[in-house]
Amino acid sequence: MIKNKIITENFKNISKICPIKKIQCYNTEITIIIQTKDILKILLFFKNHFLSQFKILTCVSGVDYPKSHYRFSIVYDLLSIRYNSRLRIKIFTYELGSVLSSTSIFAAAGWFESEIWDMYGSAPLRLLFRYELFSQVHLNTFSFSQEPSQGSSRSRLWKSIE
Amino acid sequence: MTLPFLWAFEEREKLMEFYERVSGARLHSAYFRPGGVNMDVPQGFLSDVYVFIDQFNLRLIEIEEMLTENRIWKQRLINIGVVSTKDAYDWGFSGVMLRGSGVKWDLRQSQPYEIYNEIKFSIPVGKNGDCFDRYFVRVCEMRESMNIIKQCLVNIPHGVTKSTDHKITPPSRHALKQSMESLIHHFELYTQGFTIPANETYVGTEAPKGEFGVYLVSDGTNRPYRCKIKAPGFSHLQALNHMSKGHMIADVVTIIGTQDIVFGEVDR
Repeated sequence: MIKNKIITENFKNISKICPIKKIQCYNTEITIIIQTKDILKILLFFKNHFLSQFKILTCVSGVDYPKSHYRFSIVYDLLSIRYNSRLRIKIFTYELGSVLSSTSIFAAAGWFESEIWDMYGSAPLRLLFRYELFSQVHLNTFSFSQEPSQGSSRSRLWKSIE
Repeated sequence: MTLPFLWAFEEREKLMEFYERVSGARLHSAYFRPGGVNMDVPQGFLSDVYVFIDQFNLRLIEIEEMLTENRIWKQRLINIGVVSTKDAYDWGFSGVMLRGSGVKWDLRQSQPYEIYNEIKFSIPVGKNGDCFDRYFVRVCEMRESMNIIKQCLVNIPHGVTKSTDHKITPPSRHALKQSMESLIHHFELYTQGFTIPANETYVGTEAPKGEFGVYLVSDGTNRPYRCKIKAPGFSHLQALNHMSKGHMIADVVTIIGTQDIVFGEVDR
């Protein structure tokens, strides 16, 4: 992947205008760690910057590290068809924090985020995503038992954070 | 319209038999293992595959004769579930869904794994992004797959199928009963397995339905800390609402069909 190199070299320039906390490279895989509040801007930036063009959101996955202070890590895997390369963006959050939903930038994010919420957010005070319009479909049935559609702990918590 | 479906089912059954002959299971083969494959292919298997390909080619021609120029088939498929390239990107499509919308993208060529960089095949690409294009891309890909299998049959090497590093592959039954060393290796491997250093990776492969990816996090122990499987059908099914907007309920069947959804895969 020669074109991967182009992107890595450009990270020097990119990091001047983009608040990246940490860049990790291993084999051909690039991971960047950013602040949770910057996620939308950074996704938009990498989606549209002419030297990255990461137009496809392949996968969003959540990882739970119960022992660490920032307990949840959310990992966005992006794919650039133009430059034939992949990029992983990582953010960390904790039980009381919330993550902005990226559905406005990648439509594909919706179900992945719902799934993460189903896996890590069904109990009160867990990971949650903030949507502009609060009408996401829950994918799993086991979240229904704790989360009836109205007046749920999720929306209460959401209001309290707002 | 259901007739070719049944023809294809017969061929599917034969393919499953091949699968079973090699790995012992019809669906969940677990044939690929760390350090090689489980066992060598049985005697006479490759020539049977060769015979099958010729016969399958005839069956594919029959299916195409029945469908591709069929008026009713075209009425049901053309201009149904149109996905523009931009939408395909936006909804995170992969595989045939992406190629049907006119993106020449196949992970086997763009990011080759296994032996795909030694194999020559072409990538069929759709134009309009409707159901007919996706159907046709799938038919063309069956031809390409036969082409790939033929190349593999010609070039398949003789030799061992497993690494001799017994830290990651089990020793043979014979060695197990003869040498203490092998017994220890066997015990170690089956009780503890092997450890890999703490790191993480995402590997995407081209599955028949699209990009099948695995995001694996290791914490330095003998089992993965997190294993997330990205099923291609998951993002495709998500876009069903978008694709079927403005269509009849009956068209949803066509759209799901060309998306090639398997719900067991979506649910994982």
